[in-house]
Amino acid sequence: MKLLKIRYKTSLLSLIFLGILICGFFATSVSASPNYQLTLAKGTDVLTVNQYDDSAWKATVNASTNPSFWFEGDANITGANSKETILGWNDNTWQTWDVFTSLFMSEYFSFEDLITLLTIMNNIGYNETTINTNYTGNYNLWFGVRAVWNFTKGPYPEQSSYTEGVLVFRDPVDVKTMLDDYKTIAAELNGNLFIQLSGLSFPNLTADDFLWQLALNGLAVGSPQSGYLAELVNELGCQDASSIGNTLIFNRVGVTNYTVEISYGKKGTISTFIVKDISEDIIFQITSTNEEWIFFLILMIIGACGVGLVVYIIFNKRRPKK
Amino acid sequence: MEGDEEMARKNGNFIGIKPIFYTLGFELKKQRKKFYFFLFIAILVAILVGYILQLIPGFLLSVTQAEFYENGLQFISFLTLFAACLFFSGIICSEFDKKTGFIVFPKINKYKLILGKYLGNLILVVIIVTAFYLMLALFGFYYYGGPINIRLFYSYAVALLYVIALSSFVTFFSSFMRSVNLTIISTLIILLIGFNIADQIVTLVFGDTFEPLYSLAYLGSLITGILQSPFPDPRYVEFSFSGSGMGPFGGGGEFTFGQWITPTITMGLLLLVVNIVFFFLLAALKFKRRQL
Repeated sequence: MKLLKIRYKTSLLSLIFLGILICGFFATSVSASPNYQLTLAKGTDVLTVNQYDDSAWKATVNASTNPSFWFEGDANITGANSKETILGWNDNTWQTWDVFTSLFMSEYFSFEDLITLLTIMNNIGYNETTINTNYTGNYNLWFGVRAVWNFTKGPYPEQSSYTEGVLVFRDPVDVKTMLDDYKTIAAELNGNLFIQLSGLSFPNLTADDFLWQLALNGLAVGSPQSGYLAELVNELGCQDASSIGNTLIFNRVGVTNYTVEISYGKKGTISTFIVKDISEDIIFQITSTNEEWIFFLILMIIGACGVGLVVYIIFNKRRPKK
Repeated sequence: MEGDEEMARKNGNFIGIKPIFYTLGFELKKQRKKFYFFLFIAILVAILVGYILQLIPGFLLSVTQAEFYENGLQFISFLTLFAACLFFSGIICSEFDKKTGFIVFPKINKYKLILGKYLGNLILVVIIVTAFYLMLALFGFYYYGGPINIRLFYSYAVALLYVIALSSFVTFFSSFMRSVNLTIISTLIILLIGFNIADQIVTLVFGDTFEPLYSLAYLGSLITGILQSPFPDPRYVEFSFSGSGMGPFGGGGEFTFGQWITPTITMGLLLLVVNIVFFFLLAALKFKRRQL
């Protein structure tokens, strides 16, 4: 009887602990994101230039550039590879100042110009405190870090070419607010005499420009990707960008009209990048692959060998000895 | 006729080394539980360091595969050290302890017995180290893709050499100690604490003018040092920090802490080999002089 009671108590305790664990797990995932889930995973993806037609690029996109303008290294050579390793991420909350400096200013100004502008802004009362007081938006995001090896035809160098941020905004609606705040602040600053005297000005960005810049500079998407991309495009009110499934499509104008299709894989990062001309012929294509399946294959082989060994040992032990 | 003689000679040789194989097999079976325990620990540590730790999103993955291996191999010195102390401590002294020398008609030559025991234990420790490296290599492949960095193989080779050096050191202690437990404790204290304290004192006194090449613990740092690219240069680094405001009147001072990172590859390998030869020779001499 006593033993039964002890067993009952142990089972009850185990159930309670299990319940707490499961509740905690669900609570974490529920509180983590009301709409979209993060699917980033640590690991390495290899980007390969599958196709590049230089003459078509020059006749369609830009006569004086090549894909290296968008992707650093030998991106203009078919068969060149680049490598990206997601190192980790954390939950972050950006305020308007962080968005203004990290997303916009660092993108459109050189380091020297950035310092000049920040100094002027500080002197005319546009510093972190005032901007964050006047524009009270808080933006939740998963901020990841990745190491990138530039495109190369040969072996990769030991150290990565650079590390950069990977941004997954928890709520795509935030991106619209960010752009609106930027436009307001930029208009105010462009009207300031000191900024005008410096010879610098904040660019007037459209939603399409902003999304294009984000897509090229570390935007990753939450899951489900199709819903995330659709909401992103709709909220921004893009004119020349649309989404179909997990693909973002940009209608751009270079020498002639062309489209850029960026597909996002299950990790939420770029899986394919395709540039097409008006007649839908591919000018440039990058695809992403990884070797994780080999790891799982090896694990399966090891597991199968282990099971086989155990079965063999058991079978051998049970067999009556002659 | 000549062929028969040749065959007979070969048979004689084989019969000569047969007891070594028997002892080796017996030792493998005898140390089975210890081996399973260490194997479990090695795999567990590899999984913890190579996989579980990486599940924490905020814990950043190393940028390169070599750095990942370098971080993962921080535990290899502990693993090899404990394994060497526990596996090799009983090689010679257990024979004295159990007075096997008093057997009137011994069935095996005492040198063959010791050699068989040593090889048996060495095989087990090598398997443990190999399992650790394999697991780590597998996780490295998972996170960074192929090919596996060639320097991991160099590191593995150094680790094996280090294991042999440790085993020779422990075997030497085993040759003159009275009991297994005493050998384990004394070698553990020397290898785990003694060498490190000595290294710190030497570095504190001599700084960059004297490299602690006498220390097995320091030589072991080549296992991770060889993974670094470029190889550390300078190999002696100093960390300075100021203690301003910490003094009794708000003043402070400049504190410098020096450290030797790793020996050079040539010197490290050479000294590991020298250690192996030296301690084995000493152990053999001591064993010969001490009556079994």
